[in-house]
Amino acid sequence: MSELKILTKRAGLPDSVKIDTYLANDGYKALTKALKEMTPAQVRDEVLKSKLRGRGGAGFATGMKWDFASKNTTKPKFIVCNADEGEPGTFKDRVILKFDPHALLEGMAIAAFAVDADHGYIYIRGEYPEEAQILMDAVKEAEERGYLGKNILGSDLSFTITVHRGAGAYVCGEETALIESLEGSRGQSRIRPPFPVNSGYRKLPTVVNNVESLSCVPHIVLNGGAWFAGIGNPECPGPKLFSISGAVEKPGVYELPMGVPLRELIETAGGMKDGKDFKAAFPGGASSACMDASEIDTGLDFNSLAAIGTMLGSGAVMILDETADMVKAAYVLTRFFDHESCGKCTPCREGLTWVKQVMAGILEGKGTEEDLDLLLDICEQIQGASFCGLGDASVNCVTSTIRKFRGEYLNYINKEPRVRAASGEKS
Amino acid sequence: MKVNLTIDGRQVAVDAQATVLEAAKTIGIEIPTFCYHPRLEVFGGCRMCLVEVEGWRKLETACTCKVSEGMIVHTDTPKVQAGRKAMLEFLLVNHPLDCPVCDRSGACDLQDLVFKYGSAETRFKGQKRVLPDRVVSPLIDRNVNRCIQCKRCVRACDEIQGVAALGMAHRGAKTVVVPFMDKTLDCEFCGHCIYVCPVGCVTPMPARHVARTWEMEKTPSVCSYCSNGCRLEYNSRDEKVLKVSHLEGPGVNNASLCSKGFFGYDAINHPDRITTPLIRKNGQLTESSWEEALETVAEKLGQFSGGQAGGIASPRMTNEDLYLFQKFFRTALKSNNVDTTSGNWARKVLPVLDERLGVFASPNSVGELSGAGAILIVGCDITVSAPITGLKIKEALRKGARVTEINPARSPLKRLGTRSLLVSPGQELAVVKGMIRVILDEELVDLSAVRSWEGFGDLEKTVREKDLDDIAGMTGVDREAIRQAARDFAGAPKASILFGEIAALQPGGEKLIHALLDLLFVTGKAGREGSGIHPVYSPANYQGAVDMGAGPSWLPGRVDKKALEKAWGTSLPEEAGLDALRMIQAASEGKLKALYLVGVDPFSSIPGSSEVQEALEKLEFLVVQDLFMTEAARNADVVLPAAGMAEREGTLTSSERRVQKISKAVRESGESRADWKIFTGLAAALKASGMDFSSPKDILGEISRVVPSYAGLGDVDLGNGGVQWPAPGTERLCGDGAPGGKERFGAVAEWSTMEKGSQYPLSLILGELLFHSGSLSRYSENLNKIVSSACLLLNPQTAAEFKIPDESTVRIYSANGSVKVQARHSEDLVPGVLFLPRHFENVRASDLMVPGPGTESMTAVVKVRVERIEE
Repeated sequence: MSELKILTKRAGLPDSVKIDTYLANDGYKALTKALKEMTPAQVRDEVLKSKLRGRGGAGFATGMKWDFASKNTTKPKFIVCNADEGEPGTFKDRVILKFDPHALLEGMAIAAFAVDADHGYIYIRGEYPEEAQILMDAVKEAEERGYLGKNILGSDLSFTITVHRGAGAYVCGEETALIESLEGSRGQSRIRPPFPVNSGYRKLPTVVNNVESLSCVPHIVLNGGAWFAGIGNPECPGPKLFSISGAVEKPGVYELPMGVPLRELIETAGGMKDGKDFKAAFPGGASSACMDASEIDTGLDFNSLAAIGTMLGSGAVMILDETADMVKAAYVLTRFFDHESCGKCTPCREGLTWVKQVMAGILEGKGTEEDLDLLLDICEQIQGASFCGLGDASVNCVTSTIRKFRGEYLNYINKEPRVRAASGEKS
Repeated sequence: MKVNLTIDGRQVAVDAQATVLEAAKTIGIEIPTFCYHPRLEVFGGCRMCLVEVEGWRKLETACTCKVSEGMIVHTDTPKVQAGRKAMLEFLLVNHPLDCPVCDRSGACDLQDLVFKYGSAETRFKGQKRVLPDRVVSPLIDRNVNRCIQCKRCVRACDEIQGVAALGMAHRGAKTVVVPFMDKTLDCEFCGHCIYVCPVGCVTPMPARHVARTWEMEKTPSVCSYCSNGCRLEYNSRDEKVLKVSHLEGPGVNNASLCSKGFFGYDAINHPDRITTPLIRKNGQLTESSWEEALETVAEKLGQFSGGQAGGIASPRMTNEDLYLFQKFFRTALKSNNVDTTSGNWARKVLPVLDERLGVFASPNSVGELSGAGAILIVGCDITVSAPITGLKIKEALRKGARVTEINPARSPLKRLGTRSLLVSPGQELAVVKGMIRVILDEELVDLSAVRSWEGFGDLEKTVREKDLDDIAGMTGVDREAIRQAARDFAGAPKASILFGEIAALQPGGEKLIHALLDLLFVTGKAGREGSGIHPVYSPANYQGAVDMGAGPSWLPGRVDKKALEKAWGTSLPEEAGLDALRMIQAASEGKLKALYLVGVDPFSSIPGSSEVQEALEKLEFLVVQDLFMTEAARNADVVLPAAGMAEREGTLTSSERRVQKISKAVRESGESRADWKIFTGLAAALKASGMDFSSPKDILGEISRVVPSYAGLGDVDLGNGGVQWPAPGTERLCGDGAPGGKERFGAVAEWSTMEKGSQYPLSLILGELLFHSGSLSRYSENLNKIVSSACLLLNPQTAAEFKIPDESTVRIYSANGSVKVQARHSEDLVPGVLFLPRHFENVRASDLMVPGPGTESMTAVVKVRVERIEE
């Protein structure tokens, strides 16, 4: 399949962040159409028809989320854009934030119209100071031209956006921890239910959407939900921004249809670096179970990857070649989760400390085969009892590498540090 | 609406909002928890309460899981057991095995649950995280490595106490609970963090490593510091109280305590306790035996019977002590000269309540306040005067109650969102009348029921004399604020009024109380749950003192003379008795010859220090019965050592009429004796009859027969929350609306209750601190670690006017005398008003308080001027 130029259409243009460039390239046409020709219910309907699923990684049907929010009449209501982009291996939202910020703003304004929201927040990770400034400038431009602010384009919709910078916590990408942080509190997840659509920012109805999801919305409004649903895998369709990194010739962000096979994505990114053999991939960032060479033809979408026991997440594809050390990779990712655990719940906070230490022991050559069973047991208890998705997902790198690359672990345990071939065969 | 579910094969029906944890509890199934606490919002972090729900893939935490119709829950399957075992194993990854050196050992939730559900060995062979240890407070110890991050301490400090002095810093396994800004702990030292900590992380520092939990004897009792009457547990070993622990169950406080109750127990352990009786021989107080001392006192007092002897007692004494005190004077010494230092307040406040409501005590209960939708607090910092009542108000605030304070200073309640109408003492009346005016003008309530009451027309007329602009001009309070306060109060279905010392003990205090009652009746908020009026006064047993007749003008139970003579089988003195102030005056004039002070130092509590000095010198006989050598004791002819809290038995009556048993945890210090026992000993030495009692229970038996409101109390268990008199337990003394025959309004004509003085232009509040109580607490080393000396607080504006820089030394002058203290600025005080705590030795209250007609003793507000001194 060839690359798409829907979401990334304007990204390469000179002065792409400027509103005049945006306007000259279909910018704010969708918002105008929605406000002047459609009802909120019609907008929501198109989004439902599009079958757009949350691009942040959870994959919840955006149309359904907006429907729930519209049913709750408590005011004020909020649109919160999750621009925390914290998953290791993902950097696709940055393309929109950095090169096409107005697309996000327009998407948020349409969302506000669709659910009757009063104010918007963009929670952007602290590590993106440039992008935060770009967004703030874009909001100012939009307000000056009347695309944000009071009575937008003469309609009843009064809506503007505040850019709020995070402070470097992965857990604040989880929507309720994000909301806590937005409120000025410690970034720890909340009990759900209630969900943000009913009790979110300041315990008021809040729609939390990912950057990419919101940037799809203007296209859906302009071209119709059915058009969107016709792109890629019909079960979970649409254009998708894939971040691909690791052992490929040209790592970067590529826009392809949902469901593109992994093999094809690698080819689009210039193929394996230095012609090395493919060994493994983490298709959904650090949180996903790894895929091995036998699975390289699997389509990259929510359903297909779930079917093989892993996940698409945000589409943060990390490629490892024959020289990669799978045990070390799992250790590095575990260290990340241990560092980022918020500390609220016992299994994640204490369990990851333990897993990290056992993994370190294995890497130092002090591990035993019982340690592998121990790791799987600990991971099962972490996954079964964690408070939020961080804990749940944190163990996938360990369990999947033990499952698929047990030989490499045994090498360490039997003190043979040779790295096995890409197929993960036992020594 | 009820929801039906099945837990472990048993059917249970609960409210739709209940959680599985709560539902299980109703049928006696205890699911293990750490982070859950019934008084805190659900946290869901410890993951200990995992249960299996049929049809759900993963285990679910029972504390977060709301019930649903037809749900089938299993709390003890192999999967659940494995989960619990795993959570405990996880906690022991970083939690150090400190049991051999941990104060919590033997009373630790983690220990208990590991024994019950965990494994004997851990598979963890790595490195435990070690956080740097730090002393954050001299009273509250945090052993940070033992923390299991349940966050209960942080939540309790925020959700119960409303202080939020603690927070969590850092992340993951490095998470540590730190005081605000990582500085020294600056909080109210209520001890809730210690109460809720499930392990040995947060512990009381004074009790660090003094004894193992199982070595200490636990004695449930009631705190003797203030009139909230909180239940607590003394922990003692070898006849010494080592610490206090929280006691759940019925009563007013539900385990909560304040700094005094929790840390102030050590006052009785102070080395300066008087250990033996002392008799002045050759000008020197010398140790003597009880026999000799009692004989000496009896002989001397006996000479001055018939009105020449008088006694002033402390409102900290038990009902039994106070009953015998007044009986001793009335029967053995034929004198009505008995009073307590709380008598003045009682004489001012209670007759007004009697006149308007037919009650001689607080008509409502403290717990009701948490359900009130509007609360008006006048002349009172409730968080200081009655901290547990303050907690109920904080609860109400969290539920959205509208609280208005008419006070000379902003109280800590401001943190939780109250409306502060700051006024100088004396101006409250104008604000209250303004509120009534708004209610009448805007017809905020249905007045049809009260229009026909006597005085309604007068009320209308007087409140309409001034409009809100006038009142705003007089008081400095914003008119919109008065309007909103009126709307809030009238608009809430349940609304309550509290008034404190500052309101009551002004020269015209009764008028203010009448006006508050008018407000109550006009809005129809008397005598229902959550609606009513609460007089707030902090001395522990002020109500008991009234009930026991420890005052010159009231007999026990306020029965008439004939009835008491019949009950006691003796005749009673005819001549009216003198109150405390007049006893001192009479002594200074040579008319009162003998004075018996029980737990009272007149220099702390009677105005006119020079008069007090003269009185003590002129007396022919002065006997002082106390725990410590007070200034008065140093002047005494005989000093008798008295037993202190935790060393005595008897009952105390709290502000909400709750008669509760206090128990003896340790032996009396040295040769000290319980007050009641000393009185019976004196009576025996005087060969007086009717004073032969062998125990407090004995005395209570007679009380229950003599005092009508205490009927039946001699036969019931008064532990476990006691009984709110009258038996079998009365939450509210009067029903809806005004009692029959009292349908009238006070219609107070005045607009102010204090005169403005030009020579003494400022109002000084001789007030209380949260951390101290009277002068007893100054002997608590623990409480002194929080604050141990008095400094004057004044508004920066006033300070500028009188040229007083922050932290400078000043002299305060009243019409009676002067006192030297350090001055500090405070934005929370209204200009023109000063605040000085009266607990400490460096301030002698009697130097400032002004005696004389119109200004009664123990006035809370004194007119003063202040000057800076160069040091």
